[in-house]
Amino acid sequence: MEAVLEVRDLKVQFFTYGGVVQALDSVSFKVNEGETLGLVGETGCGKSVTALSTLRLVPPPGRIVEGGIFLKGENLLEKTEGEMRKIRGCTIAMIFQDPTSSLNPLFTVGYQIAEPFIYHQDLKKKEAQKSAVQLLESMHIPDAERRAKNYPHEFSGGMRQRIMVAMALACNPSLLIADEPTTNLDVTIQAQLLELMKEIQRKHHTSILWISHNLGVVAEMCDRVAVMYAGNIVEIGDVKTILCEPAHPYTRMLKECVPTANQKKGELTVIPGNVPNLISPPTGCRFNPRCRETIDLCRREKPEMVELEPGHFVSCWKYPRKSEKTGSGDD
Amino acid sequence: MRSIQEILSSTYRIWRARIKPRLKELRLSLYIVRKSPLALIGLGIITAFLVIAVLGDFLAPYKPLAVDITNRLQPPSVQHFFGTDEFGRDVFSRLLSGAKYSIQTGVVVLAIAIPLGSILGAIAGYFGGKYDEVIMRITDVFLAFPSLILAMAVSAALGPSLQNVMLSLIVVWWPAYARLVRGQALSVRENAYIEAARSMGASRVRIIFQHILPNSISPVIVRATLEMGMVIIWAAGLSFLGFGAQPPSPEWGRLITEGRIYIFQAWWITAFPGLAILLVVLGFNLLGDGLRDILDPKLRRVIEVR
Amino acid sequence: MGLSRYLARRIALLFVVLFGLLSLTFIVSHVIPADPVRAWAGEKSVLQSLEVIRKRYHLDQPLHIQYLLYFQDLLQGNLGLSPVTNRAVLWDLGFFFPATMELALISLALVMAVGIPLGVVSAVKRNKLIDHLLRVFSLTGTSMPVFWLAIMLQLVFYFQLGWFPIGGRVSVPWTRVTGFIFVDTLVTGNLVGFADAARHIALPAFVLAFTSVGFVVRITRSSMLETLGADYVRTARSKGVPEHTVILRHALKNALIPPITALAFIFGNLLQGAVITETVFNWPGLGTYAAGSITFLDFPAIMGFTIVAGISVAVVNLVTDMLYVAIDPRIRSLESG
Repeated sequence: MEAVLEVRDLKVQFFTYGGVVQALDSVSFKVNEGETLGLVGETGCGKSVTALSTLRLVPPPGRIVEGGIFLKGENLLEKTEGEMRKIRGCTIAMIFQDPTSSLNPLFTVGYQIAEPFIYHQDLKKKEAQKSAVQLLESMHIPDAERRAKNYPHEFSGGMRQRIMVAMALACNPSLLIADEPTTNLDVTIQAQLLELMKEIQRKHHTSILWISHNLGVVAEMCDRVAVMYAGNIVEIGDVKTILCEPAHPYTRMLKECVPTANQKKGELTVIPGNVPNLISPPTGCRFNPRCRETIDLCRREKPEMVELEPGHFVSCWKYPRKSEKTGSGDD
Repeated sequence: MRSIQEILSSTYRIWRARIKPRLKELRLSLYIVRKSPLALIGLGIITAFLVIAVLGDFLAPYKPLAVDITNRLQPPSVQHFFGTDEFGRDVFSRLLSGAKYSIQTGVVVLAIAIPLGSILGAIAGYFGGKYDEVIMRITDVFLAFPSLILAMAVSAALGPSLQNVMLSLIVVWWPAYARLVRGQALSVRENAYIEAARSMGASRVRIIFQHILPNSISPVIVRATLEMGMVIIWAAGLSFLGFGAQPPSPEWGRLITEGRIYIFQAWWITAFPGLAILLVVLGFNLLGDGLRDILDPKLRRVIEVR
Repeated sequence: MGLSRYLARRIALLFVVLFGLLSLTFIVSHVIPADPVRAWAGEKSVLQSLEVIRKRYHLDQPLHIQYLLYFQDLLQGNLGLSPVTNRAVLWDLGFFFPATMELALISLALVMAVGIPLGVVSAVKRNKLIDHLLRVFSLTGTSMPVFWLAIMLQLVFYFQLGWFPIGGRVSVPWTRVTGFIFVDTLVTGNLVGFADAARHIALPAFVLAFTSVGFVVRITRSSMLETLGADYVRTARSKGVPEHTVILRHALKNALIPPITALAFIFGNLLQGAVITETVFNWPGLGTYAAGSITFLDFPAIMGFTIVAGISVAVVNLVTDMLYVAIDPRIRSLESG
């Protein structure tokens, strides 16, 4: 399987008045054709920055400092702004977390969906509007033709998210980036949206980069998962392995934090400590202040990414390179 | 009798709790000010202006009222930096001497209009109901009235003099502040600490003065700095129209009026006082603009980092 | 429909405020210690004629009766007779209003055409050199005493360069049809008059525009900065919309409400007759009329002028609110819902 997207050693920094924020610290991962890769982590770990970097839309004072982003083999960081514009909304498309603020309140929904058609497929306004209506229908929005003339505030939250999905799918992108699309929705609406996304993937064979901090949704939607912490990818593997037999201490603690039905009442597990300050991050492994299993090396050097099993990568000194251990060690 | 230890530890505690965070805020503000050279230029201009206003009469090379007919209508030269007017009076000296009137007017008008408007606005916003309706209707009427005309009318009614100009400007100026503070009060009064104060038995007057007003202050400060310039211009305008200072007062608006007759023969009589007004008002505007950037909470968030 | 009820409510409020305004004016003008009748009668007044004048203007009646009589006249459409000009106030107003209206419209057009684009540029090129330069430009304009700028421009452009006339509205004959000189000269085919009127309006309009444009630039700038940081702008960019469309369509339209408010305020002021500018340029408009009526304590004129001022402000507010509704569909739903 060829990789639709390959991110290699991506480094992104924000040059603020208070100091340089080391937002992404050599992030590497792959999204294969037709698959859904989940990107999980706490708020502030850099998931959204990663997504925006792919489209080269990192807002100032942020800047991509190092690394490569390869879309079907071509390095996006070497492209001109004009070439990037042709890619955005066409080959790579993105849906955002808050559909209310992400839709322009002053334009009709039909127009906003028609825009990618106008700019990427050179359709005239009338034809683009027609395609937009068709798209709305495929999103299961009833009375699509009339509703295309409505404004975003005249729709419910769930429908607005579908409109965002419609906008993203207009030109049949190879890669869809979904930045926490269900976080702001009710659980029932969430389920509907997930069904819709699965249907889309089946029909169009779209690759999806699914960003979330909700392990349940990830379990439902993703084929593989990458776990991020403080600007680093700490573990990547297929969804079953990551959720059932996680190797990295952080992933393990994340899993423990999810309340289960047969848990003892009263006690919720938390990960002690706080997300680190990224202007002066901890030396060595960035998770070491909060980790239960640190050794001296963790504070001194940043661990390398090691392939535990085929397709399962961890970045932790518990699994040093050339080690025979399989990870289910002593704890 | 508290031990040295106790005094030291409580001092330290006060430092940690109260002073240190304020210092951090201050450092942040100073940083922004430094990054905004325009605001500093404004501050510089205003300081120079204040110095001139206070020391004007001492700094003037000639007496502002000294008539010297033989030297009338002289262009700018080494002896007379800004030339002389139709009576041979040194324009530069008159300018220096007239500075104090502008600053006086600005300060007096704002020093009365702002508290007056703010208190009324705070009452209207906090108490709501009848008080709000009445005060706001009065404000509306005043605001609907074309301001300059109102000022002219009041000045005309009271007779031309600088004091009456100040009075008329106060009448024109207070409603805007009432409205501003009322808006702030409306949002501030919903805050939890107001309820807390009330439940602790604070009287309504006390709440207004100790909580509502201080927390509505920020936009007022910005606006006051920006408006100081406006007041100065309006005062000059009213003087220009004949309502303000009377001859031979060297008030800047007056100087422009007097110079107007000779504009084509002796442009310097009108040009320099106007330039002075422009510079001073520009100074206030630059500072006010910079202040607005500093106090803008949105801007601060971008700069502060977690 | 909700919208017409809204309009009705606004017009009703207008009357209330107007009533308050007129009462205020009445109080102010009648509390004046000076005796207006003497001013009206002029130097050579005989006691007898003073009494006649007093009777004619109801000044012999107690104050509250005068108040009632005034409103009674008003409701019959009679704005009174100006003792100074000896003409109906209504006629005078009709004569002076178009001149101010034209000046206000042209100045507003200039401010809009220059202010909004410069504000957009300022926002897009935030903190670059052009932004700082525009900031100084804006602040300089609004820091200038209007009358001083007017006089300086007369000095340079009339006296030294001779490009523009020193003042007045027009120097060649023209026929009044509507009172709006640009309309009338075109309608009567008087192209010489049209050009002449244009030359006359240039300096005053520039003065008014230059001293107001700074507000619009700054407000547009800050409003644009806010919209440019909005999520929907990010969405538009992620769809591959060309940058200039993102700025001018997605961002600008959302940023227009504060500038429109500012423009409305500026226009309202202009309509009330930029007194000072009209004085310097001898412009026969409401400003000159107002200044004169105050100086001569011409009560009917003052009251008449106040009505015009009040109505124009209210109309401008109404139009502004309609514009808000036209731009933002969310407000539409709010008002009619």
